[in-house]
Amino acid sequence: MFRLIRYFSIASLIAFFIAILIVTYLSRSIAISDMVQIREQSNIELAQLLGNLVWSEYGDFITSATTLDSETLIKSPQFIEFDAAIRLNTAGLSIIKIKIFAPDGMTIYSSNVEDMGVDASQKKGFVDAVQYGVASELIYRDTFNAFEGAVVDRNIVESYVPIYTHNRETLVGVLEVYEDVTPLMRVIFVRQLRIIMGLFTVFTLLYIILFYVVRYADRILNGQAAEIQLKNAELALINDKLKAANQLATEATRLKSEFLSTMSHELRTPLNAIIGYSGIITEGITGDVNGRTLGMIQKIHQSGEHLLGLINDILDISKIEAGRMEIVEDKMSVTAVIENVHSQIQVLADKKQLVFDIAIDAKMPHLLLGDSDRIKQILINLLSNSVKFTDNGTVSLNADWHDNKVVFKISDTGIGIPPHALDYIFDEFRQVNSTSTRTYQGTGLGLAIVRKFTEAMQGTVTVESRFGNGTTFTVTLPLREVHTQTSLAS
Amino acid sequence: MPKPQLQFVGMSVVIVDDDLYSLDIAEILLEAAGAVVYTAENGQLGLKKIETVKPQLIVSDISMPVMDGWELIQQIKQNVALKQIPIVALTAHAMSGDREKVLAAGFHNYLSKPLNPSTFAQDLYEIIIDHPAFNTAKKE
Repeated sequence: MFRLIRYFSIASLIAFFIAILIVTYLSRSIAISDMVQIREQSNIELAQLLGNLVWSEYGDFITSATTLDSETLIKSPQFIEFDAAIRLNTAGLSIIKIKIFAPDGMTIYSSNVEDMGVDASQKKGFVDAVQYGVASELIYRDTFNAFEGAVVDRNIVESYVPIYTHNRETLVGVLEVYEDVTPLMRVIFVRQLRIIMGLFTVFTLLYIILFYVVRYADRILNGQAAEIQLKNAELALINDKLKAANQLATEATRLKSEFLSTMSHELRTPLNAIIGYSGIITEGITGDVNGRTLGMIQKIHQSGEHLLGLINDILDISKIEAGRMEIVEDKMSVTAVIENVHSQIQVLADKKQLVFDIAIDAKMPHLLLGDSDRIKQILINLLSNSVKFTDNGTVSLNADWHDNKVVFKISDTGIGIPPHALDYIFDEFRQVNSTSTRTYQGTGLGLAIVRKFTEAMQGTVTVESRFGNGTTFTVTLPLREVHTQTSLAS
Repeated sequence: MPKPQLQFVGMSVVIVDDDLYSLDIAEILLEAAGAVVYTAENGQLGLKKIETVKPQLIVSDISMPVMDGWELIQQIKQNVALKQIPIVALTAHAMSGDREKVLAAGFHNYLSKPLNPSTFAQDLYEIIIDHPAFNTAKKE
């Protein structure tokens, strides 16, 4: 079963967590960077302002301060005044310390006397400021010596701001401004918290909505899976039923063919009597018979033969259907089979004064592997049909050897077959016109047998006809040539 | 009405068939052709008749009760006195496969049932005319 919800929950939790981390980190970085930039700008302005306020009075002193040593400097009254001025002008601002460096890096002023005289020329901030115009950094101090003394836990932006002469040509010194941004940092922090809470809320809502969606999908999928199982079970049942039905059908066919086989044997016995005795009488073997009686006996004989033909046809068909008809593959000659057929059909053709033509391809092999009896029956069925349905003209039989196949063409100039009938003439017991059974006697099985035999020999049979204009049947049989070693002396 | 030809004048023939009509018809036709005909309803009775009569020709059906055609010919071929008598089979199954079987069993040839009354005698004559025993036995 699907565990969509579980996977979904785990995946979304991880996704949300990562998203919050990224967003928090990014927004904090941006906020801090923005803040530092802004404070730096303000530091520059403040430095400028301070310079404007203080430099005019104490500028020369500052410049000359580089020559004095720290101890002396600190005690000088101008220094003290300067220091006081600085403190006064920065009171109430967020600037909590100032240092002034000489152009060579010497600390010439600091609100924290300990810094005095320290060389800052190597400090990165100092160097960068001289080079680029300003350098700032956000730092954190546990304790810090500010104007008012020691302070604790401060976030500070320290900026190095270079001071130039009025025409901006000569570097006079570098101012280092320390600005307390602790409150601002707190604001940033609070904002972070708000962002996180906001994200959290949004994600929770999203999760709830998606949870229901996923649960719904999960249900559907489970339902589908269950349906599929049901369908499979149904199909299995149907399959079993089909198998059983198939077995029944096979058994029924087998029984039917056995029955027919037995029945036809039983039917032949009285038929022997009918055909035999009526034949003997008509032959005059048991004495002369008068014309009228003879005529009647002859009709009995003909009916008997007809009945025999029907039984044979039915038996053939049932054998094929039961799969019991074995096609014999023996050495045979097409010429011999045709000769066999010739006389039989010639008699029928002569009776109706039809021309019977035969043509055998010169390329026809002498010996082929095939079932001569069945081929003979195919030809007889088709030819006798042709004779039956032709009132005047020609019936012809052509045997060709083409593409390693024997192709028989049986054509006539008879009444033809209407187009709609072409579909079903090969079906069992079908005749073109049921009324024609009166005029044209037949079992209706002749063509069915032709087709079944042909198919059993892996061949094909086709028909072309124009109603009123003759018919041609084409039987193609793939028979293998037998190559006999022709002896020189024969 | 064409008179039947007397192809079998002076010949004795035993016909074995369980189909009484068939038996009767064959008898009538061969007698009309001049033969002296003896009949039997199954292989066993046939064998007895053959041993008694010692005919010049045997005509036998295949499927019969008690003893069928296959067994009958076996018995005859094993009998020194009888084995040279030509036997022709009568069979309702006239398919090529059966032909081999029939010849292999020792039958000289076969004719299909149902018998054609107008041609039976001539057909039978034609298929046995080449048998050596028949040639010497027939009195011209």
